[in-house]
Amino acid sequence: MRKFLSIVFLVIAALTWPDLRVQATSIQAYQDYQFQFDQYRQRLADYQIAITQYKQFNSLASQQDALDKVKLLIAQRSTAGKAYALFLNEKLTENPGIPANELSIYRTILTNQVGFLDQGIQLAPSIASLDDAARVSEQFVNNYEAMQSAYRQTIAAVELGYLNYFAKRFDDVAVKAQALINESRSDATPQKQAVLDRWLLTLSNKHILYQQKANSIRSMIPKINGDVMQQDRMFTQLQGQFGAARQDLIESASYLKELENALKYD
Amino acid sequence: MDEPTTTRQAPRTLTEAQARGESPVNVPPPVQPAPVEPASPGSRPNIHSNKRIRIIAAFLVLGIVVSGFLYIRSSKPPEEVAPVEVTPTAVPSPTPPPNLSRISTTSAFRSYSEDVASFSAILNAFALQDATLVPPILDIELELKN
Repeated sequence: MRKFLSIVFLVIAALTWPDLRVQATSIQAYQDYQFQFDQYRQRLADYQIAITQYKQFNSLASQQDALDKVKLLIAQRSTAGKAYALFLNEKLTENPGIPANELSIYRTILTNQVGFLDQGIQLAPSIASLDDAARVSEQFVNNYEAMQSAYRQTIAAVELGYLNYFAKRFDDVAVKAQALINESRSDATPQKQAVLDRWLLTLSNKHILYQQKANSIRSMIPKINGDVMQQDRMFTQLQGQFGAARQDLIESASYLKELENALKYD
Repeated sequence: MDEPTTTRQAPRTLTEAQARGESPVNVPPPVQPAPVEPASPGSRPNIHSNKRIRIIAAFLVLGIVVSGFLYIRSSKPPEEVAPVEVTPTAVPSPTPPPNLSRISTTSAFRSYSEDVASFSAILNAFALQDATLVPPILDIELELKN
């Protein structure tokens, strides 16, 4: 009975609590992507066996088998790519810190990719020969860098969104700290006032440093393009900047704690 | 102490005597005088025993003295320890807590404290590098051409 009640409570909580619902959607989308990617790997293995046999025997049967397998592979490759794009779309939706204008840009990028991949999925069943398959696959290959760029740009935007969210929370707490400092001015000794003002200045400096890093990251995100290796280099470079920006926020949090202690005692 | 060594001739066996036609009579071995040990310069039994007696006597005296001391000490009534006068100090600990400010009791300050704790907690718990945010590698070469 107790178990049943707890399950009912969890179901109600999941339905009524929006954050939980959003999180569940993102997790579900990721699980779907994992399933589709596993399917893709299976199709790839099947295709590799079939094409090897065709090249070895060059028979009609092996040719037909290779054609069937390549059709499945091309469709599944696009499906896996699309599933990951949909997962990133969910991550954008649940992110609390991406500004609306940036959100719309990354949604558009992802929507374009999903549209392109859908075309590939629809074309796959109509492939009639291995030459046809090569042509359809070539379209995917030509778009591959753009697709990888869309993924990486969106991932960077999601990570920056989280940092923005924390920075916003930091701003809110810093405003409260400022109000408390102003309130305590009448009671505080000049020495204490000087200490509080120094903490406030340190906080402000740290915030400026964070903001500079965040702006730099924001300007670098659209530059993630070119071949995949180049994209990876830029992406790794950005990860370093993300780490530094996060460190600024962690230090800001410790300063807020110091300020709290300074305010607490005479 | 080593025993004096004596040299004895082994008696002839019965079969040998009989072989020579002699009667088998047991002849006792000739008794040889005990060898005289040369007097070594270090062996003085009298001095040794004197030393031992002295050591034992010294131990006995020491034991009597110690047991006597312990007996006297245990039979003596314990001395009364004079009570130490504790003077109360104004500061009970070496690091007194600082006085709380007026503002620390306000609801605004409490709200600020909670916000700081919550902000630190979520920031520390947040892992920037999400394992799910890794783009898939989709093999692009199909190698369809012979």
